[in-house]
Amino acid sequence: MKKPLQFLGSVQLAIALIIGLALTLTVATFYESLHGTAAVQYLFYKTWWFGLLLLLIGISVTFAALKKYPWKVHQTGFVITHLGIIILIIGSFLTFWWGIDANLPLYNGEEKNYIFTHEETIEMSQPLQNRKYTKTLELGPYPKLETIPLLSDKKISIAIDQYLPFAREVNHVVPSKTSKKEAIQINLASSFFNVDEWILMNEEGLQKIDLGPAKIIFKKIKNEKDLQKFLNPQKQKKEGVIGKIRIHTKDQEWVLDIHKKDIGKTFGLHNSHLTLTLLEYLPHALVENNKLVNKSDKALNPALRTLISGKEGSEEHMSFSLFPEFPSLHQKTSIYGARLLLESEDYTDNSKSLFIGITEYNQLYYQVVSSKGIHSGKVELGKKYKTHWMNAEFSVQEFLPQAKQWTQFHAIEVQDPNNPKAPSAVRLRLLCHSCESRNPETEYVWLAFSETKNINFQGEPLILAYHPKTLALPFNIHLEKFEMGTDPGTNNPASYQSRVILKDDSQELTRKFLISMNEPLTYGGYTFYQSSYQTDENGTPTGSVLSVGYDPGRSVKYAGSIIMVLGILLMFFFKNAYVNAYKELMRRKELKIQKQKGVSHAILS
Amino acid sequence: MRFYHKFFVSFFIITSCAFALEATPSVIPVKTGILDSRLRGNDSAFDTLRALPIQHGGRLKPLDTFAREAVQNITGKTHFNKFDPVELVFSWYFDPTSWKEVSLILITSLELKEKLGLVQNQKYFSLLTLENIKELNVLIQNIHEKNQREEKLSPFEKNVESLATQMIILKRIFSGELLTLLPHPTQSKKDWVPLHLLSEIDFLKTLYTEEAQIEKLKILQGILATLKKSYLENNPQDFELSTLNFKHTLANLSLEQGYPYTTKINQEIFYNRFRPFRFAWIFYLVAFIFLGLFFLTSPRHSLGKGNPVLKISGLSFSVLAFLTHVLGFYLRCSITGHAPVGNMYESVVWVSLGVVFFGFILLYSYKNFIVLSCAAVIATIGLILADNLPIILNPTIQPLAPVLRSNFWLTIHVLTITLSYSAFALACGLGNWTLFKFIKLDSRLRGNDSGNRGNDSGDEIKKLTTFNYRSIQIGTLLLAAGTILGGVWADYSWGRFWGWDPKEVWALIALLFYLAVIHGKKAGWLQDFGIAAGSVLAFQGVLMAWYGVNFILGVGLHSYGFGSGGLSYVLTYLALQIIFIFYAWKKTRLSKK
Repeated sequence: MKKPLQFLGSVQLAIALIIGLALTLTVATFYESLHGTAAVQYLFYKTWWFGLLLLLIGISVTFAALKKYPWKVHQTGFVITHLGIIILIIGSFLTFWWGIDANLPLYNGEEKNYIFTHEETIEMSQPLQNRKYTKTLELGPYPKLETIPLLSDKKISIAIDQYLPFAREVNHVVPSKTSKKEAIQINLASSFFNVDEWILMNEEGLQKIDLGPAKIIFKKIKNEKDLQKFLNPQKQKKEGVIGKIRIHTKDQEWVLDIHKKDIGKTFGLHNSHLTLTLLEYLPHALVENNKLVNKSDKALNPALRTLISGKEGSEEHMSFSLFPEFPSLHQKTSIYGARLLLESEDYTDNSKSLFIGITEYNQLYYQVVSSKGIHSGKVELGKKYKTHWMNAEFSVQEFLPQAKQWTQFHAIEVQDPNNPKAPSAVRLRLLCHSCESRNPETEYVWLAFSETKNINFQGEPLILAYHPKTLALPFNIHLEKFEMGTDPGTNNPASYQSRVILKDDSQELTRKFLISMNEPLTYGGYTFYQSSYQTDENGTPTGSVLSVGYDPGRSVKYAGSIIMVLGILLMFFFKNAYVNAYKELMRRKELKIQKQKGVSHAILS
Repeated sequence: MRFYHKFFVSFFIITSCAFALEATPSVIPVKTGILDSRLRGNDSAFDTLRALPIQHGGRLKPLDTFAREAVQNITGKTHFNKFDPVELVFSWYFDPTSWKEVSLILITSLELKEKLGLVQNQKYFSLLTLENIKELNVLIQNIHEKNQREEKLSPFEKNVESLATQMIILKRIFSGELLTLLPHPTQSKKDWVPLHLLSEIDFLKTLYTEEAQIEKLKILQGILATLKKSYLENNPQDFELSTLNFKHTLANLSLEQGYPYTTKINQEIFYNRFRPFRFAWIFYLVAFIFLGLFFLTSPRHSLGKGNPVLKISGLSFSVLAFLTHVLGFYLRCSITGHAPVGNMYESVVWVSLGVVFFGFILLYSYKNFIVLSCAAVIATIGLILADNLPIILNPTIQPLAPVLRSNFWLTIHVLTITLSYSAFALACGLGNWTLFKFIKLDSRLRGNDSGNRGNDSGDEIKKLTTFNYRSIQIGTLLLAAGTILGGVWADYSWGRFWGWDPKEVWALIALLFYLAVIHGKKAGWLQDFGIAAGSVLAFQGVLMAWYGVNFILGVGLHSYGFGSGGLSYVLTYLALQIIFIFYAWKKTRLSKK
């Protein structure tokens, strides 16, 4: 029994373990540099054998200290150091098992009472039966082709049969007997380019695709009158008409028809205290020297400057009909929560477009708009027609009267695995055991990360979701605003901060906090740190990402660290001091004893 | 003493030659007139301009610093064609059409020159030449797109990117866009206005609301014209007068406390001109030479009993160097307003300081000058590297990354960790010295010399091992404490104590290396030779944690410190160390047989 214990506490084993750990870690860091953080966590740091290695070190350290029991004075530093390491390792295991490392993304104004962990879940609900299953997974950064069963009952079974850590969405148009949508494949070719493009009709009966310099529009022709209009269009542009202006406020909406002669006039808005003044119409708006000016009378970029006035004051808006997503009010927020949209009827569309019309009887017609005027006619599959744009020709290659979109994911190689810019995706296989339907086919559903899909499987609605795992918080966090400061004269971010409101109903507490870099918020054992932010397409911050930590091992680790450092200090630098002090103490004690003995001797004698 | 003097001078010449990196003559097509400084010899002419505050790179700095950085970036040296950098910047601004044709943009990458169809052995190229290369535009466009997609750039693409930066800086100095000299009307921390907007009165009116300010701006325009005229006509009197006028008008432009041009600006100019770290390494080198001579002239049997004059001179120069080093450090911290935690350059300077500091401590406790001379060599090497590799170790003062700002734990953590690097660097130096002694010992033994002398060297090895082990102990304590303090900081600002981030992991690996040495000594596996070799090898782990993680691995949360370059130097060093250890080992093995 003594021998194995001696071995566990031996300095030889200690050296082997130290070097073993050092080499493992060296390999791990190089692996991380090549394959990313997720991969190294999955293959090294979060594996059972790595935990075992740390445990072994803990055991070795423990026995090394125990072996020398009863400890002598000069071993004090050594024992304290080793005790510190043991406590530190215990603390790490506590964190590993019970700690939480999660995320809390919030948009400005959003409130949440749950957080996202780094684990992934697949959620399957059957709303008709009021049933819900959740399965937590750790899929890692490598593709998986084996089947991972998720759920199996009498009726259906669901399993993951493909997992792609980095995936790209590929859309196909495929025939479908249950669909009511039509699809065409268009080929556009010239000596410079040759493109094939599928277009699937949408609910509104008008589908557009933009191919850069040209547009293709696939639309439904409802009746004979429509068809005549399609084949013989008349360019109709009413003189003096600007178009419509649409005014949205928090709770109301108005639409006004406006003419060029209305500029300068003021209109009252129905059922409100607001008035709208049309200040200026810029048919060809352009920014020059930081100023918006009108370049010509041609309606190439129509814009309208307006003034909204009401009880609480007035504010100026600028609306661009080509850029409806632009906020009409710059920088400030509107007092009335107003947004103004200009729908121009004046706009001269000089771009090239190809219309493909489809009648109720599935007959196809075309209409080409170019600088050479408008050409139209009937479409025969496969036949080439002139577009009059750069000598390009188009043809309708294929026509599917009943088609649907089929989304698939392909695995891709990512350049930087730590910033893959590609979601992970799983393919679910749904099998029906007791289906009464004649052909109980297997069905496949692709889900990208953070995606929820409503599907109809053998007559039963199913909701499938592939999400990060959520954990409930015992309180709510509301993000008022995320703010970013920059270095003077540059766009380099200098500071990030989130203004949040913490609401804890059980404590009847509502308090404002400011979370900034290096200044976290700690509440109820959870700590919230500023970690990142969310932006819109223009790069303007729209929200914050907080990382959330919960670490039951923290105080243990801190205690271990302090003890260890103290131990090293004693062992290396104060050994002589305390050994001498001890000797001195012993010497005095002995002297005392001797003196006492001497005294007693004296008495005795 | 004459001999020593000569010795020092020749030594100095050799070292400076070694560090004058590219000594090949450059081809500069001379266009007479422009390439000559117009006001050369009239040093004070630019002193007023030098001290103008400019808003650039996220902070206010003296124009002197801006000019040095810009000229260094574009031409690869601060004094291109012996121009005062401030003069050169103004010369560019005053006469862009002529300068556009002058070859002054430095390209070192041979691959890049080949791809662009440029002459391989030419160093400098003109903006005009480069702008006319179509391939370059395509390359730059591609890189721009890649950057927008946040993709990693290859080393070649990084070269293209830095060339693009050089061209942009030059162009924007030509136009005045980078000369952000007009202060914000009210607050110095808000956006300042560059010179090229001086003619846009309409725009200026939106910013400078008072009529008097607009008047001053118009006056400024006039002064600038006079400056240009007097410079191009080579009229120093008018020029100097105009510079004073220029400064005066600028200073009166802002309304409230907006124009900072006092202590800090002057301090920075002094720092730029004085170059304390260069003086420090020269002094360290001198100190080392004196101490080296002291040991060489000591009688063989009793080392340390050499010429006391040499010893005192060595000590004095060490102290002088140390004080200069500290002064430079103080200036830099005072200018940047933060502890030296910003980048590799600052850490190299700090570590060198730490080495000497520990050198003095060990000198005090063991009264042995070997440690001090060893520390002086390491500090010399460290500071020479910092002084001569501006691309790898960037000496410019830049604002800190957000995560590094105003954090007590971070400062403590970085300073502790880097101090441990100092102790380990000293240990590595002492280790190498020990190995050197082993080689010498061996040759003496084999030279059939009397055994006594061998024992003398043996004693010295014992002493060196004690110092070495002491340094390792200091380093281990600091590294363990520093790593844990890093955990405390990480916990405080990122929410986890330990996350297996590469920088953390490499600090741990380096610590484990030294723990292996310490335990190896306890187990009796490592004797004097083993400890010497161990301290040298384990230091490679420190280098990896210090340099490698940022420059080789390039991943992880410590990304604010990432850079590139210098890998070949480090690998060469690593190879040399391994060869040296192996050689020493082989020699001692042979001698034992």
